[in-house]
Amino acid sequence: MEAKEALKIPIEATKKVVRVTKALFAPKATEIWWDKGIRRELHYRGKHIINAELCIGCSMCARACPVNCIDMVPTGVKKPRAVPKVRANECIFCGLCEDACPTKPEKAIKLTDHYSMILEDVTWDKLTEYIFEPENLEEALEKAKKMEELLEKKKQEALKKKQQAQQAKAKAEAGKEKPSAEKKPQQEGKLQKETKGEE
Amino acid sequence: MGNSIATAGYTFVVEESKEISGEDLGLLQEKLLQLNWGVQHPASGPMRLKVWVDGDEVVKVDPDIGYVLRLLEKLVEYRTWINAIVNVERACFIDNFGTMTGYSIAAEKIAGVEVPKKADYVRTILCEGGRIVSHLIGLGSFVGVMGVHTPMQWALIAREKFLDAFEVYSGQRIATASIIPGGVRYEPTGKFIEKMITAVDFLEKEFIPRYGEVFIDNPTLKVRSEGIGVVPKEKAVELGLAGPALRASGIPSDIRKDYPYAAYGELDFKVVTKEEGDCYARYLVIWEELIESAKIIRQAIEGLPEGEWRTKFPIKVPPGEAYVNVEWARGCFGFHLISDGGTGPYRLKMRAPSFANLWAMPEIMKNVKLADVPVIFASLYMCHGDIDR
Repeated sequence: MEAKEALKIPIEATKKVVRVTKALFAPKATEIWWDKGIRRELHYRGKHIINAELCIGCSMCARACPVNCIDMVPTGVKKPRAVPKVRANECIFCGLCEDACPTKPEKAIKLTDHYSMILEDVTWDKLTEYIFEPENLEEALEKAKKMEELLEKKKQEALKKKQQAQQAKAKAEAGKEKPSAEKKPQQEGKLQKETKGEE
Repeated sequence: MGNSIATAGYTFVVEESKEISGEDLGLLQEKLLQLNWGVQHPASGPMRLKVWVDGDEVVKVDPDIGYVLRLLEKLVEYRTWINAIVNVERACFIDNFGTMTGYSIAAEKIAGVEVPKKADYVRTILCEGGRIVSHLIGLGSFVGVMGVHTPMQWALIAREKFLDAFEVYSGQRIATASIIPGGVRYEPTGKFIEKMITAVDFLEKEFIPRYGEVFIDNPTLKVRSEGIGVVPKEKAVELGLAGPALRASGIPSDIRKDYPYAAYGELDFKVVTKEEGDCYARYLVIWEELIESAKIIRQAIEGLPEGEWRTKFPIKVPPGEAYVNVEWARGCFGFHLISDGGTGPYRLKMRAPSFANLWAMPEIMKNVKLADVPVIFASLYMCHGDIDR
């Protein structure tokens, strides 16, 4: 019995030493999380992401917002006429704007799983300036402008073709019916050409 | 004025003779002392009780509310039919599913929209989850009022599992905004069901045995709460009590059983009642309802049908009105919704159970000891967000 009790003390001491050494070399229980890129669950409602290329500027998201924190900023092009801008300070992250967005299959305004929204030196001015804006707005606008130019070119070409066809018709008709009265349709054609140049 | 009162956190003001010259006070007015139980009391919440005491005995109680008034009913009038849920759910953040379900059913009644069966079942699961979360806090705070804060911590551990499940489902833990007119917003994925089952497993296998062993049938707790704040059967009806407080007086009133909504008509559960009508009975009703709710969740998950979970809700709803009652965690919650044919509600009146319990409280608190005021207050199971709206 005595020998056993005598052995107990060193055994427990060694156990404690082992436990302490283990704890010394074990990884920390806490860690800095915001640069680790931790992902949240499937439907997590965090930071907004606005895709200006997909946006059609229908302002359904601004209407669906219960706290009116979405402003539609006019872009100057025809499509999209305006893009949403979310005032993050007032947003309650309910996700109803995402539900309301009609673009398919991908939504133009989405709530991502990024939840680190850290502001340093938080003042009221900084909070009011904290806004989620469309990320690729300039590219989208350039694209939209190019598209508009292309469309205008096509329109003008179509107009030209139409007028040329009309002129040809008029000429042919004039030549068939009254060869003496050729001047009138030609003058009309010239007038039309002039007006087109003005356009 | 002993030091004991000052150390217990009571602020007291000697009553002026003008304010206490009410008829019912009579000759007592010279001896009376008014205590402000609240706003800064750890158990009161954002609310004040003016307590007039004669020695150690409470003579009169006058609740002073309005500290968390947010004008939710008025704000709903500026919303569309769908995004009004964010105001409705903020009536009380602890069990937000019940209020959203009630509002949605009222809106569907006016619009004549039928909800798919799957949405009904998901609503049931979420509502019962919300009820469990709310009851856990109710249990914890009831024992916490008496000075033991361990049960609150145990309850919060169990609550955390349910909040995890809600996060997987909707993306938020507390303000979920997940039930809308026309169904539910998200599909109940496998992961959500899995998380819900683990939460219920934890509740049934870990929390309930451990908590039941220590804090149910506890002799000290019984001495403190048995026979205090007794409300007989007839008086409970007369006062208009609601929820667990009403069922603790022996009246089997439960909207889930009486007028089934969502999927409650197809599920098998019993209404918990107690005959005693005192604080301990109210505590036990909350406890047994917790066990019952866990069973309902299991049944609903087993019976979850296939199909759609959301239908289209019209932007403009024809004129009409509807009154819908739902059994919320704290009692029967009524919604009177009126439409004038616009894109949003014309008027919404919410009938809150906590408010009914609050105005029954002065009657219950007559001639009790001052130390019993927090116990009765906690046993009536009220939510301040719900009282003020």
